Amino acid sequence: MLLNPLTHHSPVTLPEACRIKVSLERSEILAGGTFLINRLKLLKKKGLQTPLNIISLKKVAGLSGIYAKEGVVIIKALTTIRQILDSKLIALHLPVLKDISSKIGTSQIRNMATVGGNLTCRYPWTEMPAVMIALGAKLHFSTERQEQLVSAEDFFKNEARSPGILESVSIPLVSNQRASYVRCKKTLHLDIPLLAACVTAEIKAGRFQNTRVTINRGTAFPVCLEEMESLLNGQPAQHRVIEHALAQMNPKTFDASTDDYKIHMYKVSVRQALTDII
Amino acid sequence: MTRLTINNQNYELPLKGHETLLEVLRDHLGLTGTKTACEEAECGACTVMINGQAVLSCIVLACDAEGDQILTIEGLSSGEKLDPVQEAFLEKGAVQCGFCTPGMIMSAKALLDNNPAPTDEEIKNAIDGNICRCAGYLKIQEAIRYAGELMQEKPQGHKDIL
Amino acid sequence: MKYENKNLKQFLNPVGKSVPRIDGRGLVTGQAKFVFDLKLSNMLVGKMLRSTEPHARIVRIDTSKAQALPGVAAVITAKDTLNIKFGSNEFFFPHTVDQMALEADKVRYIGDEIGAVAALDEETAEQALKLIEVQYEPLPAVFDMQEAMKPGAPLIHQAMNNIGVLLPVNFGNPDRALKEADYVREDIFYASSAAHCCMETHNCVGQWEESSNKITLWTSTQAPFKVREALAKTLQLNLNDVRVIKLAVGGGFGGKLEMLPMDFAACLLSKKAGGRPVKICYSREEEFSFSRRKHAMIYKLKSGVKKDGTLVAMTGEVIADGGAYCSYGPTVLAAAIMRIFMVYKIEHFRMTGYRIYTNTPVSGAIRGFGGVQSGFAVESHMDLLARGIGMDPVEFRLKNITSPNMTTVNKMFLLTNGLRDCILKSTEAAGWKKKFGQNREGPVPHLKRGIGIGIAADVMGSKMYKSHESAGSIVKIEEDGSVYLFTGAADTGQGSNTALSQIAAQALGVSYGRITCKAADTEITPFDTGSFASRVTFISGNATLLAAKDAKQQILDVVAREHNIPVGNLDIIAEEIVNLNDQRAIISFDKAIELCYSFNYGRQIIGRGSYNPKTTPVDFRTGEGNVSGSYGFEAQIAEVEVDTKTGEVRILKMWDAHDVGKAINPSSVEAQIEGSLAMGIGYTFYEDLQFKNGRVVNGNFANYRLPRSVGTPPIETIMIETNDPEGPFGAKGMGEASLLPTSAAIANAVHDAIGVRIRDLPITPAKILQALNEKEVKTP
Repeated sequence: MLLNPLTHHSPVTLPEACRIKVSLERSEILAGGTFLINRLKLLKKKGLQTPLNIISLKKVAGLSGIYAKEGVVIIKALTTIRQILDSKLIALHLPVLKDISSKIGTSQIRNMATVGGNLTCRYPWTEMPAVMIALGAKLHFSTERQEQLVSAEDFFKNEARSPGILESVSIPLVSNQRASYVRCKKTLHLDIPLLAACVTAEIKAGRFQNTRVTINRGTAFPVCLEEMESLLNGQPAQHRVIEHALAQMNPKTFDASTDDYKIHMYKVSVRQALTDII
Repeated sequence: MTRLTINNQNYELPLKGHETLLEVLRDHLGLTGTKTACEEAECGACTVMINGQAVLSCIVLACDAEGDQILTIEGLSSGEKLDPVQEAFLEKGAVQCGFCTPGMIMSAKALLDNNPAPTDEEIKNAIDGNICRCAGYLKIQEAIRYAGELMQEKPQGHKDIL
Repeated sequence: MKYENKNLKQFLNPVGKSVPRIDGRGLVTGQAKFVFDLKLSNMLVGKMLRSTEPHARIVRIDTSKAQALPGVAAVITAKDTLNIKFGSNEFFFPHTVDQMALEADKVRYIGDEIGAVAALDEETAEQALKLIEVQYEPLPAVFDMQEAMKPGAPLIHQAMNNIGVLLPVNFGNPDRALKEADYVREDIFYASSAAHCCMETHNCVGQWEESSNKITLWTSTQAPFKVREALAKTLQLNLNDVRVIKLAVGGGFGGKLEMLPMDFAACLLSKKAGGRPVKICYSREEEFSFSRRKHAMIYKLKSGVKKDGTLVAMTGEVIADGGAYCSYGPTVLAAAIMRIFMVYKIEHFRMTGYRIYTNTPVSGAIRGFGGVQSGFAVESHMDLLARGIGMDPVEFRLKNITSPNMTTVNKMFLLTNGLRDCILKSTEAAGWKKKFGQNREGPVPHLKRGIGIGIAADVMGSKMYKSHESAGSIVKIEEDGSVYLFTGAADTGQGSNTALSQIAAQALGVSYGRITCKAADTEITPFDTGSFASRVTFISGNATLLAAKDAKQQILDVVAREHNIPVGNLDIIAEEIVNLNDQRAIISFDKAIELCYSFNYGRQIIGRGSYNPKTTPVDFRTGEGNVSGSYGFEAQIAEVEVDTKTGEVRILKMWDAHDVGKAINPSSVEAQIEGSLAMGIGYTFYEDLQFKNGRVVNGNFANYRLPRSVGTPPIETIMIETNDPEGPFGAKGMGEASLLPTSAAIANAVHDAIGVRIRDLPITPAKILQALNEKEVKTP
C-alpha cells in the first residue's frame, strides 16, 4: 500500500469542486498528481498525517487548453506541460514557456504535470513560478462565491497560498518583450535546478525597459531582484551595463546560501539570462 | 464499482480511493509486466499508456483512470506476435536484465505512435524518464529508431525472430 | 517425432553472431517472472527489524506485543537461530566471517538486522515491527575510516585498529628504485562510495516444507549456490535440503552475490508460520541503505620513473571503508591492488591495503570489485607521471604495459594480451595525436576541450572464496533433437544464458534455435560458483563447451557403430553428421538422434562438463597468485568539453577498445561496454552515496542521480580478438573491465582541457570551478 486510505472525489464543475473543498476536512486538490501523490507517499512513509479527501479535477469540464484573447494568452489550469510544449500559440508568442516546459521533469512527468499544479503545489523548486512572475502573469482563482485575480508576483510573495482553486493563468503579450530562462543544474543530466534565473525586458531604442529579473533559489519561492531591475531600466542593453549592474548589486543579495558554488552560479545565471536577451 | 479499460478489456473493480494504478495492475489483476523500481515517479519502470500518452502508474490514482484507455505491456503482443517496438528491442539487443524494459517499451511506443520517424533528440527526450542500469541507452535508442522504421514499413508490423 | 522449428537453420554456427537473447521474448512482453512478481497462495509478507543505533549492545528484545497483533504469523529474533556466522571469503579468510543472519548481542550499523516478522499484509507487518521493543546500550560509534584506524577508536569487531583485512604486497626493492628514478611524485586520491542501483531491488520468497524439513528460496541473486551454502550453514541443513531458485533477475552488479539476512529470515519465518511462503521485498530506500555498497577508498601512490618513461617503482597505501561487516572485503582489497600487475610491468612495488570497519552500511562487491576505485587512482597517477616528464600519456603507457606470454612479478601468467592493440586502436580511432595537448576550444571560448586515456585489465574468475572455482553444465538431447542446456550460471541480465547456449549449439554443430537453457536452480542444475568477476563466459562457457562436446561424442559413437566408420572420422557440421574423410554428410542430426534413441541403441544423450580454471589463490602474505585462467584488457578514451563559466563537463564521445578474446555475441559485448561506461560516467560525475552519522542521506533516485538517456555520449566500441587458447572458442570474460578506467579517462581529459587535476570523486562543477580558481591564483 503506497498511500493511506482516502476518499476520491470526482466533481464535474468548478463550483462543485470548490464546494467540496470547503466542506471537507483534510482535503487536497488533485491535478496531474506528479507532486501530490508522491508527497502523500512520503507523508505516509514518515508516519505523518495525510489528507482524507482527494478532489480530482480531472472530470471538471473546460479546465484545459491554451488560447489568445485581447492581448493575453490564457492557459487553463489543467493544461499539461506537454500541451504547452506542443502548442504553436506558445511557441509563437511565449517561446520562453516552451523552453522551460522542455526542461521540466521527465517525459512522463511532462505528460502528466499541469501548469496549475506546478504553480500551486507550493514546492519551492518548480520551474513555472519564476517565469510567470517575470512574464507578469495573473492567476485566476475560483472560490465558492467569486473569482479572484492575483498577480503571480503577489501570489508568491504571499507564499503561494491559494485563495481557491486555480482556474487559469493569463499572460499579457508585450511587444518587443524578450525573455530568457537560465537553469543551473545540480548534476549534468536531467535534475531539478540548483537555481534558476528568468529575465524579461523590452528593449526600446537599444535600452532596457520594464526589466524583470526573477530568481528561483530552489529553497524558497522565487523573488524579483528589484534593485537589479532599476539599475538596468533605461540603460543601454550592453554587456558593460550588465556587468556594472551586477557589480553594483548589494553582495548580500547573492549571499543567500552557504554553498559557494551556488553563490557563484547566482551571478553566472543572472549574467547569462541578461546576456541572452540583448 | 469502478470501470477500467485495460488493454481493450473492461474491468469492473471495487477500487479504493487510495489505490494507485500500479497496485491495481500488479496486485489485483496480476498484470505484473508493469514494474516499479522506486515507487516514487523517478525510475519509469511503471510506465503505461493512458489515452496514448506515457504516464507513471505509480502516481495515478486508479479511480482517476476511469473512462480512460489504459495500455500496458501485456496489451502489446498477441500470442507469439510481437509489437514492432518489442521486435526491435529484441533484434537490436536493447534488453539486458529486462526489468526496465516494459516501461521503456511503453515510453517508446507512445513516442512512435505519434511520431514514427523521431529525431535522436526526440528519442532521448521520450525515454528520459526511464532508468536503465544495464544497457546504457544507446542500444535502446537504436531499437526505437529501428522500431519506427518497422512501423512505417509494414503497419501491421509483426515478424518472428526466434 | 521430429523437432519442428521454422528457424532451425537460422542460427547455425551462432558463435560470433549477435543472435537475439534466448530469454528475450519473455522480457520484452513482460511475461518473464522476477521474484518481485512472484505470488504464491497463502503467501505472507515479511519485514526486517533493524537496528536504529549505529553501535550498541542489545540488552533486550520484547516481541510479545508484535506476536499478539492479529494478522502476525511469525516473529523471529536471534533466539530463534543457531547464531552461526556467515561470510563471503570463508575458505581462505575464516577471520572475515563476521556477520550473523540476525545479530544477537551487538549491532554495528543503523540497519543491522536483529529480527523479522511475517504477517498477512504489509501494513500489519510494519505495525508489528513498531510493536517490538528493543532496548539498547549505546556504544561509541565511529563513522570515518581514518578515525576508526586511530588507537583508542571504538572497536567494532575484535580487530586491532578496526583493520578487518590487511594486505601487504611487496616485491623487489622499491625504496632503492625510487632513489634511482629521475622523477618521483606522490598523489592522494579519494574514490567515493556508490550504490549498485539494480532496477529490481533485493526480493525473496522462502518456503519451509514441514514434512521433509527442506526449504525452497526464490531469490534475486547472482550466486544461487553461494546463497545455498550460507543458508545450509546458518540453518544447519544439508546442501540438498536447500533449494535456491533464481528467476529473471533485474540486475546484480555485485550487489546480489551473497545471502542477505532477508533470505535467511524468509525461510525461518516460513518455518515458524507453519510452512506458509514468506515474501520479503526491499523498498528502494532499504536497497540504498541496508544492502551492500561500494567501498569508499583513499588511495595514496608514490612512484618513480626514468627520463625515458620507464616506470621503476611504485609504493602506496589503500584504505577502504568497509562498513560494519566484511562481506567480500578481501576480494575487493586484492582487486584494488593486484590489477596493477596485469596492466603495468613493474618489478619494485610496495603497497599495503587496509580494509577498515566503520559503523556504516556494509561495503561489498560492486562491478569491478575495488578496480574502479584503483582504476581512478592509478590511471590518474600515471597521467601525472607522464606529464611530469613531459611525455605523451599514451607513449608512457605503451612503454610500461605488460605483454603477451609473460609472468608478472606476482606470478600471474598473461598468455594472450591485447593491451597494446587496445591502446593503438582506440587512440587511432579517437584521433589522439591531433587532439591531445592542443588547448582546444569548443564553439565559444569558455568551452575548453580535452582528451584523456585510461587503461585496465581484468580477471575472469578469481579463486577467492572456495578451494575450487568450478562450473558445471549438462547438455541433454531429447528424442526429437531439441536440446536442453542446464547450467548453474546465473544470468542476471548480462546475457549468459544466451552466450552459453551459443557455445553449446556451436560445439554441438546445431542451430542455436534448438537450445532451451535452464539455469541456476540448485536442485536441478550443476554447481556454479556464481556470476561475478567476469567469470561466466570463460569458466561456465568452458564447462558448457565440454558438456556439448561430450554429448556430441556420444552421438558420434552411435553413428560410428551403425555406419562402421571410425568415430574419429566423424563430426557434426551444420546439423549433419559428416565423414571428415570425404566431407560427405552421412545422416542428419535429427536422424542421428533418432538412431541414438532407437531400440537397438536406446542411448540417452546426456553430455556433462565440469571446468575448473588452472589458477592459484592470492597469498595474502605476499600478494602472489595466478588468480585467473586468462586475463582481459582494454583501453578507453574520453573526449570532454568543460564549461569554464559553470564548471560543467560534457562528454563529447568515448572510445573503448577491449580485448575480449573472441566475442561470442558481439551485440552483448557492446551492450556490456556501453552499460559499463554509463555506470562509469555516473560514478565519475554524480553518483555519490552520502552518509550522516552512519545513515544514508540520499537513498532515493531523486537525490542519488543515475545516468539517463539525455547526456549519454556516443560510444565507439572496438573489439580486439586475441583468441585465448584457454577460452571457449577463444573467448574471455569482459563484464567489468570497461568500468575500471572510465573515471580516470574522464579526469585525464578534464586535465587536458583546463589544466587542473581533480583527485576526488565525483567530479562536480563546484570542484572544477574551485580548481580553476586556485589555478588562477597560482599562475597570475
